[in-house]
Amino acid sequence: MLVQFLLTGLALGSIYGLVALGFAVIYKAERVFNFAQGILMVCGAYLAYTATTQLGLPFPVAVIVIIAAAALLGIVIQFLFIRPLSGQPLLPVIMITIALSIILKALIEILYGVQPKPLATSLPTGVLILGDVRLSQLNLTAAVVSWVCMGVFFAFFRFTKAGLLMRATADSHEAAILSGVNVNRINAGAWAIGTILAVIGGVFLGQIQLASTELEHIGLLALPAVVIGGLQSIPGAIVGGILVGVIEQLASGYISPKARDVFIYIPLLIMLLVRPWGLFGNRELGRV
Amino acid sequence: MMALNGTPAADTPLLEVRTLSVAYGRKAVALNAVNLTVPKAGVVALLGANGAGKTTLIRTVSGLIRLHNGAITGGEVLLEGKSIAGLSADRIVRLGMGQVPEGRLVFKNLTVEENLQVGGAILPRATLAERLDAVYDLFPRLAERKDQAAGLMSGGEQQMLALGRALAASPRVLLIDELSLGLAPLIVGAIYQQLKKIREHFGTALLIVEQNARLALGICDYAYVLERGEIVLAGPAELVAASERMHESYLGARAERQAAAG
Repeated sequence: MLVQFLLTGLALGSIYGLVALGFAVIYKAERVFNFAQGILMVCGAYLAYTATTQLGLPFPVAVIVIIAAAALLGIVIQFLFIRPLSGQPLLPVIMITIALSIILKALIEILYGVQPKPLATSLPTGVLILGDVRLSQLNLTAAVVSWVCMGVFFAFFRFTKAGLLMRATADSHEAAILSGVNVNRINAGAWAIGTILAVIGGVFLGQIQLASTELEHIGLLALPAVVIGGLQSIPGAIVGGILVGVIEQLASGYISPKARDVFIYIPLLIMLLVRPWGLFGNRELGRV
Repeated sequence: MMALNGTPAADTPLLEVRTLSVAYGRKAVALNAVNLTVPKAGVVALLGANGAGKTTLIRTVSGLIRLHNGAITGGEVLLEGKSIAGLSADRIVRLGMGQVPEGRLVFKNLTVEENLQVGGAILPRATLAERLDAVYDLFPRLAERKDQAAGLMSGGEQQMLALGRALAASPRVLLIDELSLGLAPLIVGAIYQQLKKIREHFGTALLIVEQNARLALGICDYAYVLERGEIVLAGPAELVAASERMHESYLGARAERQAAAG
């Protein structure tokens, strides 16, 4: 049983890590604490529903459409709501992201109805049986895709010019401007990446469960994930996501599904009290 | 303004500030009808005490003034004859005005090499490598520290890096704000020696904003003195250095007494 829980937790945790990574990218770029990250993930599930079921696109085309739509969504949000508030204190910006999440949720329910929608993507749905352990192929695919995305993401930051400029802008806005960097464009790019990562997570969660605005609270597990991992830290977001996934599986497996949130948010509280900069964060920068 | 003999070159200057006035908020006037010219490959110093308006002037020229809630209320700023007032700061940098901000604003989590790459990011890839080599030639210390995180370097090294990063973009004019602030005199002296070389190596014009008048007058061709938002004295460096007003307020006995007391 333990191995079963750990593996499932690892797979689901990889998805959370992916969504949390998107959250961390946006936070690092603009110091925006994005409460809309959960609903952006939900948008992924519905984008998949539209692309595959409503439009009947072949799956590879659907993937491209979903990613392009996600990038556009992130860029539009940044342009309309975040850019005008640049330089404002944290609170108004946080309120904007909360309002945004409520609006997006309502829009989804108006457009698609409140009834959950099953997804019909071509993701594998069989079960692998290894001894006593049953591993869903979907979970396995989700984990593999998440890890590939993280790898691509690291390569982007490490080896491309755009990635370098993003790291520079996250380091110091003013120094980036004074180096001739168009900071607005960089921030729009960060929102595009953050939204794409959330949306990819949403496609998998929508397929594992159903496309529904109820998924939002799963998306918001990105918050404990990044706080535990360290707000400023990219590896921290991933490790935090995996930890949250594993804790979730162990708590709901051994105690009850209701116990899940208690065991996820208690480490969050302890972390904030004892080590507010998180597991991987930087002490001087990471105070929340 | 008291103009001493000799004005900078008469053809289109590289950077020209014409009757510029700037205010913060509704009333506080920070600059009043300031005129200032930086000729091609010239070294110009802007001197003045704390609060005289030096930083306001440099922020206005560099396009950062709006970020600090100031606004241009009159006059203009011309880079090679074209108005740049109101353009965004990053755009002004891309037009050829490099900046070394006060407080050695380097990218602390990036390596020295990465800092320079960001500085030169506006150049085409082919010329960037060549340019970085030239910067490393000028600052061998940066070459030794290539792979070190900038935040772990000493203050003097960070100041060199801030200079190198601005130079990496091949600017035609470089604004240098309060280079000496918070650095040991010996290190400041060494960095000022490098400034001389910048003009020799790259032909870059420099606008040096400095509280330490003696230092700046040692390397500039031409100097302006700002007091309470107005230029009160302007002229070739030797004449400014020799002027009674300069002697009285910035270089002479009174300044030394103040320094000793402070």
